[in-house]
Amino acid sequence: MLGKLIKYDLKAMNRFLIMIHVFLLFASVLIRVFFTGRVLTEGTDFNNENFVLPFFLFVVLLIVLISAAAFATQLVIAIRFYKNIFSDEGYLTNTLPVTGGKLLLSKTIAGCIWGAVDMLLLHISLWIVIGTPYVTGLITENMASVWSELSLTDKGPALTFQALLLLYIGTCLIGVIANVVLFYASVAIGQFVPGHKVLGAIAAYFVINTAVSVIMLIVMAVSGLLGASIHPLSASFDFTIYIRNSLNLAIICSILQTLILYSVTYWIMEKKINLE
Amino acid sequence: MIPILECKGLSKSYHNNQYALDNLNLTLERGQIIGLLGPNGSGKSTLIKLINGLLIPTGGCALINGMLPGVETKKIVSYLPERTYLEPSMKVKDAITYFTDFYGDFQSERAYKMLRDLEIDANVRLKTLSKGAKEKVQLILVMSRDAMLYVLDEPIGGVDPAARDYILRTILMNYNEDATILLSTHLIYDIENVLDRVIFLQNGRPVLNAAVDEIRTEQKKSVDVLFREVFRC
Repeated sequence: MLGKLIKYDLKAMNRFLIMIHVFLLFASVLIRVFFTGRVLTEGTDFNNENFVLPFFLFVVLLIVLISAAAFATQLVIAIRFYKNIFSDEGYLTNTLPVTGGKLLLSKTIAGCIWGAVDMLLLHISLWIVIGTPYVTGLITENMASVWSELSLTDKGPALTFQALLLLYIGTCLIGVIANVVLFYASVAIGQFVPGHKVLGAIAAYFVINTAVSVIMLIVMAVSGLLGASIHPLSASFDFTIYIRNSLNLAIICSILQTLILYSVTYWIMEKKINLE
Repeated sequence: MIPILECKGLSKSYHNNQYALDNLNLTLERGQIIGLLGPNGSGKSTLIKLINGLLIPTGGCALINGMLPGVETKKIVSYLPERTYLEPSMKVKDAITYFTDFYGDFQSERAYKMLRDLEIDANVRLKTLSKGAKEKVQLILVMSRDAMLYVLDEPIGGVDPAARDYILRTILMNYNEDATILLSTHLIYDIENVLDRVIFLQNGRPVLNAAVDEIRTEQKKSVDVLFREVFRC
C-alpha cells in the first residue's frame, strides 16, 4: 500500500516539477550559450567596466532563477500535502484504508525524493551556467591550494575528496528532509486555526523557524560557538575548527528538529484530523 | 449479529462550542436503505464525517461493524461526500485505477458499465466535466464497491431529474442485499420510495427513527409531508 501511495504522490507532483526543472535547465543552457560561454573565457578583462555590469546582472539572474526553482519545488510539495490531506481531496485520501501515519510517510518520502532531485538539478544547472572550460581550468589549477585548506591536513584529521563529497551530499539530504518535514508540520499545525488554515500554516512556519533559530543561538552560546573569543582576528580563533563545530551543531539540530516535527505531524495525522 | 452502525452518546462540538451532534444514540441494522433527513445544520454531515473518521468526536463513539473508525472500517465503508474529492487533472479511467489500487472490493467492470450507461467518456479529465457529471463519476466509483455500509451525502443534489432516476436505480441494483445504505438528502420526494427507514435529525438529536411503511400506514402520510410538518419554519 505504501508503494501505491508514493506512486500517486509522485505522480501528482511530477506534472509541475518536471515543467519547472525543464525550464530551469533550458534557461541555464541559454545563459551558458549566450552569456557565460562568451564572457567566462581566457580573453575577458574582468576589471573592464563593460564586463562588471553585465556580470552583476548575470549573478542576480542566476540567483533569481535558482531560488525560484527551489522555492517553487518547496511550494508544490507543501501544496500537495495541504490539498491532498486537508482540502476537498482529503475526503478521499483520509478515507482510504490506510493509517494517517502511512499517508504521512508516503508524502514525506515523495517530497524528499523531489527535494533531492531538485537539489541535484540546481547543482547541474549551476554547473551548466558557470562550468565553462576557462572556469574548470581555473579550478583545476588552484585545486591543490584550495584542497590543502579544505582538507584541513594540518588542523585535524585529513579529509579525502570522497569523504568531503559524502559530507556535502549528506548535509544537503538532511536539509531536504528537514525542509519537507517542516512544511508538513506547519501545514498540519495550521489546521488548528479554524477558517484560516493556510494563514495558520504560514504563521506556524514562521513561529517554528523563529523558535529553532533562537534555540540554535542559545545552544551556540552555551557551546562556546558565540562570544568574544569568536572573532576572525582573535589569536585563538581557528576558522576550520569553528566551521566544523558549527556544521556538526547544525546537523544535530536539524535531525532533532526533524524528529520532533515529524512526531508532532504524525500525532496530528493519527489523532487529530478534523475536516470541518 | 453486530449492528453495522452503532452510535453511543456520540457528540461533536465545533469551535463555537455549539453541539452539531448532541449525545446521539443510534443503531442501524444491516440490509436497509436509510434516509438521514433534516434541515441544514441539523448534524447530518457531521454524523457522516464521524462515521468515516474525518472528524474526532467530542464525546461518545461511533462503532462500524463493532469497530471504531480506522483502517478496518474504511475497508467496508464506501463514502460519497457532498463535494468533489477527486483530483481535477485525473482522467476518469485514472480515478477507476486509483479505486482499484486501494479498495479490494472495487469492481472496475461495474464502474465502466455504468460510465457507458451514463455516456461518460473514461478518457476525459475530470476538470472538463460538468458539476453533475463529476457527481455521477463519484457515485459510480462509490457504488462500484462491494461495501458493507454505503454512506452517501447528498448523492443526487447536483444532477438532473433524468439522471436522478438512473442513479437511484443504480443504487438499488448495485448494493448487496446484506449491505446498508445511509443517505442524506433534501430531495425527499425523489428518494422516499427507495427508503426502508428514515431518521430525522434536528439540532444534533434524532427526532424520529421509524420505518417508512410505519409512517405511511400509521400516520397516513408520505415521508415528504411528514418532514415538512416536523420541520415547518
